[in-house]
Order: sequence, then structure tokens, then C-alpha cells
Amino acid sequence: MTQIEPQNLLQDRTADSPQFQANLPERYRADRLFQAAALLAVLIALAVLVMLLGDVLITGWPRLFTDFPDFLTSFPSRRAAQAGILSPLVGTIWLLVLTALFAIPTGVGAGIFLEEFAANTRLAQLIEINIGNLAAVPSIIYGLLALQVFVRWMEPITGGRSVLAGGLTLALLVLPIIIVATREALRAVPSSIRQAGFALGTTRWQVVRDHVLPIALPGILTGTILALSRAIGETAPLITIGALTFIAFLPPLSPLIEGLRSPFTVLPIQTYNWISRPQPEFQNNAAAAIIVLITVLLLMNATAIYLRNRTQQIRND
Amino acid sequence: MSLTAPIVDTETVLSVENLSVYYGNFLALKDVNLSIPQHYVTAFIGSSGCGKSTLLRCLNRMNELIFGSRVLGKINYRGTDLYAPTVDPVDVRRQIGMVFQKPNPFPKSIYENIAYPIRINGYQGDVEELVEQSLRDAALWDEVKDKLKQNALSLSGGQQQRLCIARALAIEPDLLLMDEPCSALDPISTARIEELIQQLSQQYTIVIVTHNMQQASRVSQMTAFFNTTSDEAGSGHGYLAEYGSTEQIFSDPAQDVTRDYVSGRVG
Repeated sequence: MTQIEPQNLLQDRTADSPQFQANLPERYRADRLFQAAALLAVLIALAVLVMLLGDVLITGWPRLFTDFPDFLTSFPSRRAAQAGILSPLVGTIWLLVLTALFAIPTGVGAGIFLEEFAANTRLAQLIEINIGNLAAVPSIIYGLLALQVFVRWMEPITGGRSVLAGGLTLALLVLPIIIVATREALRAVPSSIRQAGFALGTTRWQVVRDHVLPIALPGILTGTILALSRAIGETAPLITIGALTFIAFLPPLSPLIEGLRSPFTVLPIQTYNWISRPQPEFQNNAAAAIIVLITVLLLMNATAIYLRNRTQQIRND
Repeated sequence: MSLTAPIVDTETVLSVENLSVYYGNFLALKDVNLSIPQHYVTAFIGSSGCGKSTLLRCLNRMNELIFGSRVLGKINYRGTDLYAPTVDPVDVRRQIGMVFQKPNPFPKSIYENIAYPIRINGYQGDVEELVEQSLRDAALWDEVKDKLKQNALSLSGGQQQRLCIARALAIEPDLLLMDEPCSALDPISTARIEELIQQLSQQYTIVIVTHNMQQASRVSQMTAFFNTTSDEAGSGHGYLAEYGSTEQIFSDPAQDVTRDYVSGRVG
């Protein structure tokens, strides 16, 4: 940070004009003060993050790499040294895939409809406000809704407290986020592109499919991936619908319906379970599980950033 | 109000009868009557906010895409009421093409920009040939023939606008609407586009909105001058003040407001 000293070249002239008191030194002082305050805010945020990550890494690293990859390929166990995260890791992947499968087509479709097709009526505005609100509803509320709808009412289909019910719950949770992200990505497409399409005798769907969506797609993908990374960190709604904490088997892939109706657990729940035990060995397990979860999250966010950068490159071309 | 009836010795492509346009409750344009003669360049001039672009957008029903816009009156296009419920706006826009104020090529290759409307409208012939022909018609072929695969956004502003003209010409429109096509361009690019408009007027009927009076006098044969009334609240509506041959509008206008505007003495 270099501070250019204000050279008051016109001092003589300004001195003659009493109506304007430029007072540059005072204003530059305010500049520096604000800069320092902003820097402090950044440092506090960073320090918290570094402490958190450092603590987890120090505690979990040795456990994660003792007999690697045993920790990843073993089922949970009563003996901490033998316990692994196979079933929660696989459960997380199941949920991720199911959530994406349910939430992406519905959310992106709803976003396209609201932004490109629906007339700007009072009803549409009402829906828009409500979707915005839904994105901010605490996740436990979704859990309560899902408990009644997916676990109880739809038990003949979902099989109760199953992977399928979990996927539907998380899909519900991220749906508003995906809709909002889709709409924002579509809104960023200049209207001149749509006009160009319409003026050539194309239908609305052709304009959306051939011109608007290709431009908005990376933005939609970025928003969707960020929404899914939120989903895999969720614990509360899954506890509500009754995800178990001790699972010593994997949902079978075939027949698929049986897999979908299996009980499940996920990484955050397993972590929560371990961390609440008194033995330090389980604490180490929890830290190691957190490292795995954070790695998955970082990979997803990196993908989102990569996609966003690629769009900007295309736009700058 | 006496409008000088244009003496036109040609077929009428499009006639506007008692057209008024509202945006919500706001009256943008009131009671316009005029007809667009075939193979002529007709210029719409007038100050900002007088409704000339609004009228232009009504001619191919692009104004419908603006939320809250309403059209009263009639537009007759070769014997068909353009706003009849049986008329499909998509079909209208396929016949009546449009070039916009700012060049708006698709962020795709130069070739794909032209080939897209050709394909979408079900062209049965050789697409590649028609792409070349359209680019030649828009006087762009020689500049881009070696880089058809490049992104259209890599072209200069003037080239992009000629690409947009080529794209509009590719589907052989009956009528070409141009909404201030040179306002975002430098003088040299503007001159090239004006030259192009003059060439195109041999084959096409063109309606051009422009703020540049010299441009109107250079490229058009017919000129419509639009003006705004202002009521006490300051929210006036636009109307067609005078319509006639470009020569007459610029040398011997019937109304004082027209004379003041074309001679640069506005007020």
C-alpha cells in the first residue's frame, strides 16, 4: 500500500476561495482508517477459518491416514480404531445423486418458466416473493414437512426413513436456491439476444433453447453446484426424518428400488454421533470425517468456480 | 391537422390506420395514419420520446414483447390485418425483419449467426450458399470469408451491424425495419451502412428510424416526422406531424414544427 501524499498545487488559488474547504489531509485520513478497518475484518474472518481448519487437520489427519484407506472403506464400529466412514460416505453420495436428480430438472424448469414464459402478473410476483422466502426458511422446517409427507404419507413408496425420503427432503430444501440461481443466470442474458431471436421468426422456446440457455448454462450450473454443496452439509432435516447413526451395510444398487428404500446415514450425522462420545479416539474419527466432507465440498466449489471462469472467458472473447 | 398525402406511384406494402399505442396507462403514440410504399426507403425522424421506435416495433409486432403495451387501430400488411387473432406474430416477424440500435449478433460463429435463421425457417436449398449470398448482400463477405468459424463478437461494431443486416436478409424478408442502425457506430461504419441501405433499397422495402437528419435525407425517399404534444403535466404523447417525400419534408415542409426540426431550430 503506497500512500500518495496529496500535493496541494493549487493551494494559492483555493486559499483565495473561502467557500471551498477541500481539507484533503483529513479526507485521506478517513481513507486510511476505513482501509485498516476493512483489512481487520478480513483478517478476523481468515483467522477463524485457519484455526478451525488447523484444529480439524491436526486432530483428524493421523486417523485418516492410518492404514489408508481403511478409514474410508470400513463400516462404523464400536471400536474407534476400526470404525470407518464407508456407509455415511456412500449415503452422502446416494443423497447427492438423488437430490440432484429431483431438484435440478424441477428447479431449472421452474426458473425458466418464471423468467421466460410467465406473464408478469400479480400472481407471478407473489410466487417470486414466496420462493425468495422459501430459500431462507430454516432447514429443520423442511425436515418436519418431509417427516409428515415423505416418511409417513408416502411410506408405501419411499419405505419410510429411507435414502429416497432423504433425497426428496434435500431436493425440497435446495429447490428455491436453484430456482433463484436459474432466474438470476437467465436475467443476466442481455434482452437484445432475445430480441434478435424473435425478430428472425423464432418461437419463444427456440429462443430459450438455442440462445438464452446456452449463455445462461454455466451460471445455472454454478448456482446448482453451490446449492448441492449446501445440501450435503445439512444435518437437521435428516435427523428429523430419522436418518440413522449406525449403519453397517450399504443400500444395494440392484434391485434399485430396494436400495432407494434402505435406511441410511450421511457424513454430517456420523460426525455428530462421534463427536458426542467421550472417548478421544472417536473425536479423532470425527475430525477425519470432517476432512473428508470438506474435501468433497471444496471439490464441488472448485468445479463451480471453474465453470464461472469459463463463462467469463467466453464472454470476453 | 392536414397531412400532406404522399403521392406514391407504387404498391403499398403496409398501411397504418388510426394507430395508438399505450404502455400501461401511458399513451405513447396517438392516431397515426401512414402507408409504406414498396421498394422505398421510408425514414422516421423526430426527437426522443416521440414514438417513432414504438411505431417501428408495432410494424412487426415486436412491441408485444414489452410488458403492458397495447395497440389500438389497424395495421394492414398486403391486405391482412396484422393484429387479427388468426395472425401468428412469429410468422409476421419472419416476413418483416428487424435490425436493432445496438448490433446484437448471437455469441456464436459468424457462419452460425446467418445459418441459424435459415435453418429454423426450414430452408430447403443449400444453406452454405445462402449464407454466402446473405453476407455478400450485406457487403461483408470479403471481410469475413476466411474466418467464418470465428466468434461473431470478434468483429468490429460496424461489421457486427452488417452481420445483423445479413442475418435479417438471410430469410428474404418482405420488409426490413431498422431502428437507428448507425447510432452506435463511427462515421466510417455509418457511411458503409448507408451505402448498403441504398443498394438494398433496389430489392427491399426499408423503414429506418434515425436521429440523424442528414442520414434521413441521404438514404430515404419518404420521411415521416414525429412530434410530441406536451400537456401541462409535461407528459405528452407522440403523434405523426407530417409525412411526405423526403425532398418535400426537407425543402418545403408544410408545418412550422417540421421546418424547425429539420433545419435544426428545435424548440
